[in-house]
Amino acid sequence: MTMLVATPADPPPDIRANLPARAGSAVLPVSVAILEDETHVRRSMESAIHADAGLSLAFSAQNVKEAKQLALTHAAQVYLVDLGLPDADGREFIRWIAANQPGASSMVVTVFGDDEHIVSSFAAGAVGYLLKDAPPAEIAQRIAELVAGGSPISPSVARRMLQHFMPGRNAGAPTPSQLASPSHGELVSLSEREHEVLRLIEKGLTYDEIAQALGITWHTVTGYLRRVYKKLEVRSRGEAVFEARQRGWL
Amino acid sequence: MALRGWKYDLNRFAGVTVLLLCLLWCHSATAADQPDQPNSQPFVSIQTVELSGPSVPGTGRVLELPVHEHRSERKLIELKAVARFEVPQAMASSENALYLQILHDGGVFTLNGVEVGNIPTADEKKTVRFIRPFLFPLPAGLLRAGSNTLERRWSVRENQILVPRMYVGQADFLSQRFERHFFWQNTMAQVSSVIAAVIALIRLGLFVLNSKARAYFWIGISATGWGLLNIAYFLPPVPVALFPYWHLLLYMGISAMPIGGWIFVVMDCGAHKPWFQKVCLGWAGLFCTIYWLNYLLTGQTLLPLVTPVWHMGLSVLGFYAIWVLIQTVRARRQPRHVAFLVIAVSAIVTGTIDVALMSGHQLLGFGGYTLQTVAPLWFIVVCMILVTDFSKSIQAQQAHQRELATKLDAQRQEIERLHAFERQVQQKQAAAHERARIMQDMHDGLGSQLVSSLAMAQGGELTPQQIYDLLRSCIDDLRLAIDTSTDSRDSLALALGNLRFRMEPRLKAAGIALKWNTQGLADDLPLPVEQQLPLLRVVQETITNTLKHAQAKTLSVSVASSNAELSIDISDDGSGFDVKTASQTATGKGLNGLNKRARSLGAALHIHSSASGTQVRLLLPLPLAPPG
Repeated sequence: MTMLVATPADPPPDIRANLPARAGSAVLPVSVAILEDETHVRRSMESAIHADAGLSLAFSAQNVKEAKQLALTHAAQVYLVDLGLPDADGREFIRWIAANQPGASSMVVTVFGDDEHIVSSFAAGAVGYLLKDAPPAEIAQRIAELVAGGSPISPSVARRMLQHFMPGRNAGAPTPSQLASPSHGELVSLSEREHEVLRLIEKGLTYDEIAQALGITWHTVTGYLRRVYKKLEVRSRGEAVFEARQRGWL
Repeated sequence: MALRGWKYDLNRFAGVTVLLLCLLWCHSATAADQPDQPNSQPFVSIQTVELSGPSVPGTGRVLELPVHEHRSERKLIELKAVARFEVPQAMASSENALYLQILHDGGVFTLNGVEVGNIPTADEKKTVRFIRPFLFPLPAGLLRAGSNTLERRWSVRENQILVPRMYVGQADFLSQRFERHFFWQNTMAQVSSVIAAVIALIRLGLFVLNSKARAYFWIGISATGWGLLNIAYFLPPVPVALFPYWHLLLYMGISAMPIGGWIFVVMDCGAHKPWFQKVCLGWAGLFCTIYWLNYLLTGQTLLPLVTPVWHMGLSVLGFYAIWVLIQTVRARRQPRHVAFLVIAVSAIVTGTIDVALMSGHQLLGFGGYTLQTVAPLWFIVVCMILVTDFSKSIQAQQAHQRELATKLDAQRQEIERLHAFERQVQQKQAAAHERARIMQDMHDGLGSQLVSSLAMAQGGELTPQQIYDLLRSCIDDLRLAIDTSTDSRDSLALALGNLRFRMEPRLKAAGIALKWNTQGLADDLPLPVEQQLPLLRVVQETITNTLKHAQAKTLSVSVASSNAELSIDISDDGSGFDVKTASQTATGKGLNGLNKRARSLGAALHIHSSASGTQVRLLLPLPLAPPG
């Protein structure tokens, strides 16, 4: 498998510069905010955060409006966001965080973890996801992984992302040349390595196994994935702009 | 004739052009036939000759021109004709010429003892038979005012003695006449022969290419006939031995030209008359037979009585064609049939004039054969029809192509519509199939699980942990269904990956290390989605069992496929259980469920458990992969 040999010409960006220090190893715990309208689920998540010494609860909100207000005064490092909220879609809050608090990370909380919801959330700016029924230990583990570099995605989500970047995926979508304006440049299509990492996740490999297969570190793997998420976001923003222009909104 | 409703298409245009040409033609042909007016013309028309020679009945008789005598025997004889005529003073001084209107047998011409013309005549080796006018310029001063003597000496082998009309006078004037006459009699014959030969080639060629085009065949016959007839103008003199054949060829040509024409015209009118063809061919064949028999019996190549009757017969056959044409013109009013009618009538009239001329009765001032004037017209019309037929067939072909294109387009649209319909039906079927599958899943999985959980909850025999476990397994099952329902093309490897992704954190939290090996699983395993779900349930339930009961340190899942079967091996190093007891108790429902699912898949399930761990092995025979 020659394709799995690491290529030093394509080093991963140092994404950790934007992230807070790893949970457990730093003095301060990671601050987490919860946006969830179902009381029992919210309480279960709150207790999971309280139970872990490396995590602290910044705030807990039930709707987007409240969350935005609280985020201004009690900014968190990690936001756990439900999608179906009473006043707005959770993705709107994810976008808002991505725009206003670039240093923070958003995680989607879903019932089924189906790729449709996840990929659209990643396109809005989320970088990880949690299943609603995850046991407390798993919630803490996922947050720790996220802070350390990346929380894993399922093979189905990886596949959906690959499909999203497939050339000619949608006839109505802008062509790469239309998107390749100086502002986002090469960010709109996947590099060979990013593509490869997604392919291996699709096959059911864990990050450690991928790192081993490609001869790179765990952090490099998650770094590639972060770049994929960023491209997804840029691309979806480009598509939104393109569509707005098409419809004469801009 | 009503001109109303005629369209200006090519066919009509051609027809009208032909009619105009006919009129022009007739006018210009008859212009050559202005009657003589001796008093005002600058020439003398010689009226009589004294004919003498051996075996000429009544030798030394004075005969009126033109002479047309028959004799009974057929041998080479020498003849002499002497004409004496008066010339006015005025004419003698000018430049003069001798003009012979039509000369058949050649000869030596002397005027006042001086030879003025020498045309080949028959001798021991050859027979001569011209059908053309001649003009001899006269040396200055040869023509005297007052009495002059013109003498012709020639030989004949035929049983016919012919002396043409002869004119002496102003060279300018007579040469004009000669030119005109020569043009209509010879040049036109040659031109029309060439046209006829081309038409014959084209028409017969078309007939060869398309044997259904019988009308073309008859046009070809007519044109060939005309070409043969005109050999007479190209081939004199003829060797004696070949002369009978030459004559036969001539007669065949004379028959073929009108017969081919009549049959074509009748066919072109749309009348299918086999009897008419038979009569025409019979008439021509009869004459040729009589000619040949007569030649064999008597050695004569001329049939003084039979020939005119035969010629008239050809005209009579033409009356039938004319009758058919008149009916067609009245019914269809097409210019081509009008043109045919005009030509047919002209042909019969000129043919009759020519037969009279052959019998020594000159009906027109014009002393030559007149059919020559009609024949080129006939072939020009034929050419026009060839062109119109061709353009019509091209038009028809184009129309046909357009029609085909339209039909093809309609068919394509129909096919597209059917395809769309088929896709719709397929989508509906797929949706119905998917719905049925989901219902079955709900029935087998989540539904039955919820029902049994409900029953257990009702009995009040569940601890909170058991309720938690039951609900969790319900959610797991639901996730499994969702994972496999997204895309029916999803491979088993992907579904197993999703399962691993979901279960691994839970195992980790329980302190169980997962060894996962799907390297031996083919990417393109031909396993339908209906079979994937029960298979994944077996895997998920086995993992859940280990999580709940085994107190294991490691769990190993290994999936591999060959061409023949798929194998799944799940083993743990837990405390194990008694398989026999477990399958008989209520809590052993899980094991029974596994067996049930394996059975529905057609798979073999082997469960082995001991104090050192549990091994579950599922073997599923695979359908044969399609070749290629």
